[in-house]
Amino acid sequence: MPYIYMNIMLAFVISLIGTLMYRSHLMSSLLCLEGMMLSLFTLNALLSLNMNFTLSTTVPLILLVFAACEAAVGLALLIMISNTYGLDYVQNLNLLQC
Amino acid sequence: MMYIVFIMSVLYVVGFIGFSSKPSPVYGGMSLVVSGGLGCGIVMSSGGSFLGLVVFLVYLGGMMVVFGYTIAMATEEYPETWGSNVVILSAFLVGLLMEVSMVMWLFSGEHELVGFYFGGLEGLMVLGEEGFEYVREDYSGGASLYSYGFWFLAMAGWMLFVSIFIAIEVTRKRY
Repeated sequence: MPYIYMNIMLAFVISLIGTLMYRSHLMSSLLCLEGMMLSLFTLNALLSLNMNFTLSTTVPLILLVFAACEAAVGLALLIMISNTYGLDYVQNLNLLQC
Repeated sequence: MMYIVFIMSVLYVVGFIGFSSKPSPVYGGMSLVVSGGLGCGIVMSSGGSFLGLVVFLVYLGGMMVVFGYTIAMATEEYPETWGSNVVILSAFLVGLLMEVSMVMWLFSGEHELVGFYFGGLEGLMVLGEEGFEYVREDYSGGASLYSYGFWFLAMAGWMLFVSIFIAIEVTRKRY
């Protein structure tokens, strides 16, 4: 397997770990989610181009459309959290604490 | 110069480590923009100039601009950078160590795992320069979204339309 695919898959795993481990801001988790989408786009585009699957170069475009929808919903939620609590700190989200 | 794509992919991973170590989102957004640019370079070196342009225009120019405005709204007075907090710095160094050790392990020869061959230097030769082809693959693939992929187009368009209503409904105030 060429090195470049392994590097991009490693980038996906790194941003996956970054999404799952919260620090103070919710926004940085959303940025790591966007990083996952970017690495999936790059991997899809490279595989479609190198294996000459011409029709599947549509797949990165569709992936980008759905990533944009997901980013919009995530940002809307972040805006409501920021309106209620002033900042988007994760420790503010403790209403469902047992 | 032959290794330029490999160096770009290593810097791509370093950019990913830069925002995964969770500095303040201002710096994370900057690191994502850098990684996006390098990803565009990697895709373009395989002959995908249309998809590289899509990364810059749609991803960086559309989504990252919206992220930048939202970060400017919901940020703090003293944003923490990679050097100001030992947690972020150590996460960055651990990620860097992982990347360097993976590169050194891959360059040490070819390994096999259940029929899958890792490493080996022929991987760097495959992704070389090609020049113009008679079929521009990514342009014709992107254009086939409108002919063969009509159902993709319909679903994606409907999704975008519905997500506007979702965003409006989520951000409605409930007093």
